[in-house]
Amino acid sequence: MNQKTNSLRLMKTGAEILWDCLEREGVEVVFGYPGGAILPTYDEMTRHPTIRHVLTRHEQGATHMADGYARASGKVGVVLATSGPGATNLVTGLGTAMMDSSPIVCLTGQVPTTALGSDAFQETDTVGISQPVVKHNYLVTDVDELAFTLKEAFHVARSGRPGPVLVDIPKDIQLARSSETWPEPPISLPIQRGKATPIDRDCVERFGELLTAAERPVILAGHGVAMSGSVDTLRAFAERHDIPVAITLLGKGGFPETHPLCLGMMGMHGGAAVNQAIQHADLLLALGMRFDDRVTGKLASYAPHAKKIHIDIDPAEIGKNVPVELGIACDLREALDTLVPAIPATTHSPWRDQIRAWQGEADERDILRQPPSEGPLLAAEVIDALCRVTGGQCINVTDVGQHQMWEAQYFPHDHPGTLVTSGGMGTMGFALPAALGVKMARPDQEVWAIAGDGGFQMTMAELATAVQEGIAIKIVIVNNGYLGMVRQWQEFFYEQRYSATPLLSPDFCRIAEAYGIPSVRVSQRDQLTAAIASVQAHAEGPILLELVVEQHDVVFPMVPAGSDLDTMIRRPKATTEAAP
Amino acid sequence: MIHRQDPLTPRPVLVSAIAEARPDLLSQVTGFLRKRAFRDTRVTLGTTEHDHVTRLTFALASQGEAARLVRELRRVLYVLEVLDHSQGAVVARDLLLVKVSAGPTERAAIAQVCEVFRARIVNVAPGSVIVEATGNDEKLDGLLSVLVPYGIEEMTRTGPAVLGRSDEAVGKDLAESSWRARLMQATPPH
Ligand SMILES: Cc1ncc(C[n+]2csc(CCOP(=O)(O)OP(=O)(O)O)c2C)c(N)n1
Repeated sequence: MNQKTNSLRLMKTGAEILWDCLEREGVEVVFGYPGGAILPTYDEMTRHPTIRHVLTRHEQGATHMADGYARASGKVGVVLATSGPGATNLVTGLGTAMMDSSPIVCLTGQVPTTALGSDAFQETDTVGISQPVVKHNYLVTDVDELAFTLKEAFHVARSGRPGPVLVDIPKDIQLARSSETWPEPPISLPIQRGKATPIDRDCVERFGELLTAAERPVILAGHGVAMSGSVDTLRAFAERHDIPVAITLLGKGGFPETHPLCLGMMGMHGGAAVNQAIQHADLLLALGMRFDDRVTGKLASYAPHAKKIHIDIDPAEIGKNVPVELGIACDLREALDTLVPAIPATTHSPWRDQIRAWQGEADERDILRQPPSEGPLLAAEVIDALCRVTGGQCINVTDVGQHQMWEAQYFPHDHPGTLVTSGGMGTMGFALPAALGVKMARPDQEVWAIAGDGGFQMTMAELATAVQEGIAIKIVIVNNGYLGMVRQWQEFFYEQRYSATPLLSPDFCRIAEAYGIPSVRVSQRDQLTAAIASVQAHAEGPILLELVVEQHDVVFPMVPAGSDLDTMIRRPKATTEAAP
Repeated sequence: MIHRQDPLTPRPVLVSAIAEARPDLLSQVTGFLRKRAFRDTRVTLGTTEHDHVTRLTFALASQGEAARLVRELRRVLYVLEVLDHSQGAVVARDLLLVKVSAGPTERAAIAQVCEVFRARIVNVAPGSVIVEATGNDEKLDGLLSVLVPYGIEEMTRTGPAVLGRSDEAVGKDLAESSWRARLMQATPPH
């Protein structure tokens, strides 16, 4: 044997390097789907038994699982897919992770470098297609650069404002050999240089001035609170300075909703009193949130009396939608740790009294104050029952639509990470696969996937994944026979022309049965609690609960898109609702 | 029809970015401009004193758009530095190549015009000449308006390339943080 072949033997293939890197990163599970261009990597997988591979039924499912896994574990979720259709199937999941700042790394096979650009079988410009929906991506064209690229990919995914990263690896690179393995020096990125706001004396002074001068302050708590580990810090801040806290959809769990200072969710389907408080506030402290249009309503009239302080880790978010008096681009926890102790405590009881009056008025309109004793189940009731039976001690993963908003309104979350949902992208089909990822990250926790009849049918093929992998999640379908949220818009804004929203569904219980999954269907009020309890008690493997609810129910209140935040369509008060 | 700036349009606001010379930088940048809805932006790419670093210059219609671009560019990973030129003193130059119809009788007059504008005739054909000029927007607009009556056959005009006037050299330490440099640092050649 000559020297050259000998040293080649000592070198590793790209596929070996890839798995070595995943091991070095501490990856425990990979969600994927094989195919020609990724086969060398799948072949090598057999020699790396410490990493569990979950075979999904669609690559979109793999991305949502990795996303759910990442959100629940705080680690990077990993996806493996083949070139062409495998890679294009990732796009929705990448976009979903991008919008909600979820760290995932997708590794895709690609046609050999020699065939790139030739319309080879299953060739697609994966880097080009994914570019707008990833934080960063790479095409590896030299096996010597693979290890470094992978290490950097993981670093990029989780650093700063986290997000999805894609690494496209041609087949010949997976087979080529290199002696380059894990680079030891820590990765440093240009992005880490000099773009954060220094929290210096000026900054502290300005923060103090604004805070002390405020009579009607409101904290707006977003996803960044939990992501930066600021839950306790925020709570101490709100309590010490006596400031009411409004939360975004993804901010749920960042501040306990049963806390007296918690106002609840803001925005399009937020509480009426919450939006009123924001519109009347004289200071908004926006913490780890980004003034999404679903949160602000019409920008021109948003919180017109309020000065704004905005703290977010992403400098590009500061001043993007809403002009601010003080913008601080910085890790939220670092910022609060420095700023808060420097400012003397404050109290705002007249302001809280005013908000309490608004809340009282809103409560009178609440559907749960006037539950019907007959007729179909209401979605609000079933969510409320779910909350009572579980005692809120579970992680909910919701899909997108009316049920998502009802969950947000009727299921208070007191702990970070107990609601996982697609907020920024609003991706139907998210709940089932994401819940599987969440459960894998938190096997000790009870995990409920809550979906509508529409969204569930988008990714229900992943039931097979749940069974094959023995993942014991609880699946709730809130079945209203419509694409409910779209039906609601048609009812309000399109003169009740229900174009393409009535929805035929299969018998969900028989679908479950075909997969060997036990199921329960409930349409009667008196069976609701017992049914949820029986589903909760089921310990072995997945279980499905179909809740048949009122078809024409509407999520109140609602701020029509583009309207002032306190221009809300409200549920009529009980007394005026006498007529059927 | 020739494309030239309406004399009433305000001068463009210039922003430069120093970026890693990724092989797909051009598509990344155009993709970025589309994603962030910058619709009327001229962009010029140029090599720099460092092999692994590219310099981009953007010409924008307003101060507000320039500020937005600066903010958005800063979150792009392959961008190492962003320079907002709206305040600082800079040298900015576009390159213009224009083919003007000119028979033997017009050539001399065009040559005279070129002299005034410090442009050059770089090609002569029986019925036309090619004029080359570099300069800022105003100068090139001025030159073109004088050449129009002769008949513009063809032209191409680049966006601006920009350098700051001061002694300060912004790109100096940036090359070290380019992808290639980071790679070399992490995995030195054996
Ligand atoms: C992938 C995708 N397609 C379309 C939409 C638009 N959309 C938003 S909510 C909704 C209806 C959802 O219906 P369903 O899943 O039955 O839930 P419901 O609103 O009835 O609770 C639709 C179609 C979307 N958000 N995602």
